[in-house]
Amino acid sequence: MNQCIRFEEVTKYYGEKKIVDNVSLSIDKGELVTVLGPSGSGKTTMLKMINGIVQPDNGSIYVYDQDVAKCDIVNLRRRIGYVVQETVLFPHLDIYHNISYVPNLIGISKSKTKRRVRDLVDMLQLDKSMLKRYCDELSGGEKQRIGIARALAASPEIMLMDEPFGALDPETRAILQDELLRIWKELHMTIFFITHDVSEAEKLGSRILVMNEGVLEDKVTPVCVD
Amino acid sequence: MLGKKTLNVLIDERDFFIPLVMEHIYISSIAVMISTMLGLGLGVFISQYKYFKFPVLSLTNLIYTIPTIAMLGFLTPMTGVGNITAIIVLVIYALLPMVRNTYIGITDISNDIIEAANAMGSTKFQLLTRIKLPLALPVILTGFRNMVVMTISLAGIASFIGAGGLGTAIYRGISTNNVQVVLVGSILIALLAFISDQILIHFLKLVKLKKYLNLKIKSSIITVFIIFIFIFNLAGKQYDISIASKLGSEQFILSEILTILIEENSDLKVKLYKGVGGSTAGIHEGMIKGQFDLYPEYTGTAWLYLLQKEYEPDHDKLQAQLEKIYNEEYGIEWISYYGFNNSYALTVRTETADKYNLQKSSDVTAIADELVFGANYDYYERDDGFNAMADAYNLKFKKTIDMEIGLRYIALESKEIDILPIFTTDGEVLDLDVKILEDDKHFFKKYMAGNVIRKEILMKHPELRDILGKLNNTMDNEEISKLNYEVNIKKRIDRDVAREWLIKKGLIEDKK
Ligand SMILES: Nc1ncnc2c1ncn2[C@@H]1O[C@H](COP(=O)(O)OP(=O)(O)OP(=O)(O)O)[C@@H](O)[C@H]1O
Ligand SMILES: [Mg+2]
Repeated sequence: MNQCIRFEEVTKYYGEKKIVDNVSLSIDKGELVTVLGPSGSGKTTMLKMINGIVQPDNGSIYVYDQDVAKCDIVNLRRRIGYVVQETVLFPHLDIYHNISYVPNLIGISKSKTKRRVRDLVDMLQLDKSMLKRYCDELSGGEKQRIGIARALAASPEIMLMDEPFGALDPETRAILQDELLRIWKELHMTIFFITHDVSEAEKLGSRILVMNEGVLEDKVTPVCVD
Repeated sequence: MLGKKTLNVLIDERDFFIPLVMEHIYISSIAVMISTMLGLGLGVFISQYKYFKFPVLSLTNLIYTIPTIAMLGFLTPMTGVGNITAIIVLVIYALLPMVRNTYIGITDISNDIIEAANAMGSTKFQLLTRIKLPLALPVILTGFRNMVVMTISLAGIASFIGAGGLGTAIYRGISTNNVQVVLVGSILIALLAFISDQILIHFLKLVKLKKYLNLKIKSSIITVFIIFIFIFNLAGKQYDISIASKLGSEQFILSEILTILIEENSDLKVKLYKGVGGSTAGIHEGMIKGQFDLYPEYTGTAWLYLLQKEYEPDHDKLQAQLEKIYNEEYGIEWISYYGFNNSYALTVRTETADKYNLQKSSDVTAIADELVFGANYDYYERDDGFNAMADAYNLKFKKTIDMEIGLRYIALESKEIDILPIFTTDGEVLDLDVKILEDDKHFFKKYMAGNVIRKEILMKHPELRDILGKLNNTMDNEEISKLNYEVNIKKRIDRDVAREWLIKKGLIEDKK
C-alpha cells in the first residue's frame, strides 16, 4: 500500500467550537498536498494533528498505518519535517546547530552531520559563512531557507509546512517555491503544505484541498504535475 | 580608621587571613554548588509540574524571610555547630533566587520555540537540556549571581556557629575590640563578593553575546581554581585533635596557647575552632558529641552553669566533685589548671586605698559610707550580686550607681564612683592606677581556669597528658591580665601574644 497519512473521521473541538469536523482523508506517499482555506478554518489544527502536537477528540490519524495517538511519537516526529511561517529558529544555537538539530537529537555522527549540512547548504543555495551566525542576524528569506534546511536535515519522508512562504516578498517566494518543487521531486517526499495563496496552491500542489469551517473537500486535482 | 593601618594588619597577618579567605571560598562554593543543583532541580521540577509551583515558591519565600540569627538558633541544636550547619543555612537562603529564576527563565520561553522543538522530536530531557535550560540561562545566571554574592556575604556569619571563613576574623575582631581586624575581614568578604559579581556579570555578557566557547573556557578556569582551593582546604582538614574556645580575648589566648604548645611539642595536628557560637553550652555539647576534644573552661562556670549545682564555698571540695562528675558522666577530664581565677574583686583608686589604708575588702566596711559604689545594672539584680556582697562585707555605701558596663573604668577615673567590682583578669585594669582589694571573706565565687579534655583523645594520644600538664600553675591573675591587655588594648594578635608567653615560660623553643 502506498498510503502515507490517513485521517479517519477526525473531529477536534476547542471548547464548544468544532474546529475540525469529521474529516476523513488519505494522502499517498509522494503526494504534495496543498491546503487552502480561510483564516480560522482549522488548517493548522489539521496539520498539528499529523505529528501529534494537537490530539483529536474523535477519530484517529495514521502515519504509515501507525496510530499517531498510540505510537512512539518522539520517533515519528523525527521522521517528519516541520516548517512554519516565520520559522522559529532556536536563538541560542548558531545556524549550523539549528540545521543539525534533529541529527544531533538522533545521535548521527559528527562527520555525517557535517556532510549533510554542507549538502543542504548547497541545495538551498545558502552562504556557507552564514553557518556561524545566529538567527537574529538573518533576513526573513534566509531564515525561511534555514527553516527548510533544518526540516530536511534528518532526511524525513514527510514534510509538514504551514504557510512557510507567507511572509516573503513575491520574488523570494517564487524562488523558494521552485526550490521546494525541485527538492520534492528529488527526494520523493510526501508534503502537507498549507497556504493562503491560491496560485501557490496550484503551482505546488499535486492535489489541492480546501478547508472550510472544519470541513475538508478536494478541490481540483491538477491534471499532471511533471 | 581605614588606610595604612588596615593594610598593615592585612600584610602582617596574612598567615592568618589567607587560609580564612580560602576557607571562605571553600564553604561558599560548597553551598553554591549544593544550592545550584537543588535550586535548578526544584525550579525545573515546578516548571514541569505546575501543581507544585505555589507550595514550593511560597515555602522558599517564607524561609528566605526568617532572620539569620533565628535560623542559626533553630538549626544548631539539631545539626550542631560547625561547617555543616553553616552550609545548610547558606543553602537554605540561596534556594529562593535559584528556584525562582530557574522557574521564570524556563516558563518565559516562547511557546513557539517549545512547540518547534517538540515537533522535531525532542524527548522531554532533550527539550530541557538543549532548549529550555540554555534559553533560560541568562535569567538563571542572574539569579545565580545574586545567590553567589549573598552566599559569600552571608558566609561571614558562619563563624558564629563555629564554622571557618572570614567571619572568624570579624568575630575575633569584635570580641577583642580590634577594629582593624574587623575591617580587614569585612573588606575581604566584600572583595570576594565583588570579584565574583564582576566575573558573573562578565559571564552574563558572554551569554548574551552568545560567546559560549569563551564562556566554557573561562568557567573551566574558575572550576579548576575552585578545585584547587578544595584540595588546599581538604589537605588542611587532616587533624588529630580539635580545640575549641569561647568568645573573648582570654579564651582566644588560652586556646592559642594550647594549640601552639601541642603542635610544638608533638607531631599532632591541631584544628582550632575559635569563638564557637552558643559558647559554653555549645562547646560542652560539642565535647560530649566528640566534635571538640579540648578547651579552656572555668571551674565555677562548669559547676554553676553547666552542671547547675549549688555553689560550694570550699573550692577544693568543689573541684574534686567537679572532676568526678566530669569523669564519670561525660568522659571528660580536667587535665590542668592555669592558676588564675577569673572572678570579681572590689577595686578602688590607689589614692583612695592610700587615704583609708585599704588592703582587703573587709577594710572597706568601716568607711563604706564615704564611697560611691558603681556596677552595671545586672549586678544589682543577681542573687550573688550586690545585696549578697553588701551583706557579706556589711557594706553601707554613700551612694550606689548603675551604669553601662563599658563605662565603669571611666567612671572610676573621673571619680564619679569610688569603688566597683572588676573582673580579675581584665586587661584594662593595668592601664589604671587602682588597688585591687583582696577578697578576704571569700565572698566572690571562684572561677579557676583549667583545661578539659576528652578521655578518649587522651587515650589515643597519651603524650598529651604531659604536654598539657606543663600548664599547671603557670599563670596568675596579673599575668593573664597582661596578656589580655596586649590583645584588648594594644590590639596585638592573640597568637603572637600566646607564643611570646610560651617562650617566656620556656614551654616552647624560641625559633627566631
Ligand atoms: N490552542 C487553541 N485553543 C483554542 N482555540 C484555538 C487554539 N488553536 C486554534 N484555535 C482556534 O481554532 C480555530 C482554527 O485555528 P487554526 O489555527 O487551525 O486556523 P487556520 O485555518 O490555520 O487559520 P490561519 O489561516 O489564520 O492560520 C481558530 O478559530 C483558532 O482561534
Ligand atoms: Mg494556520
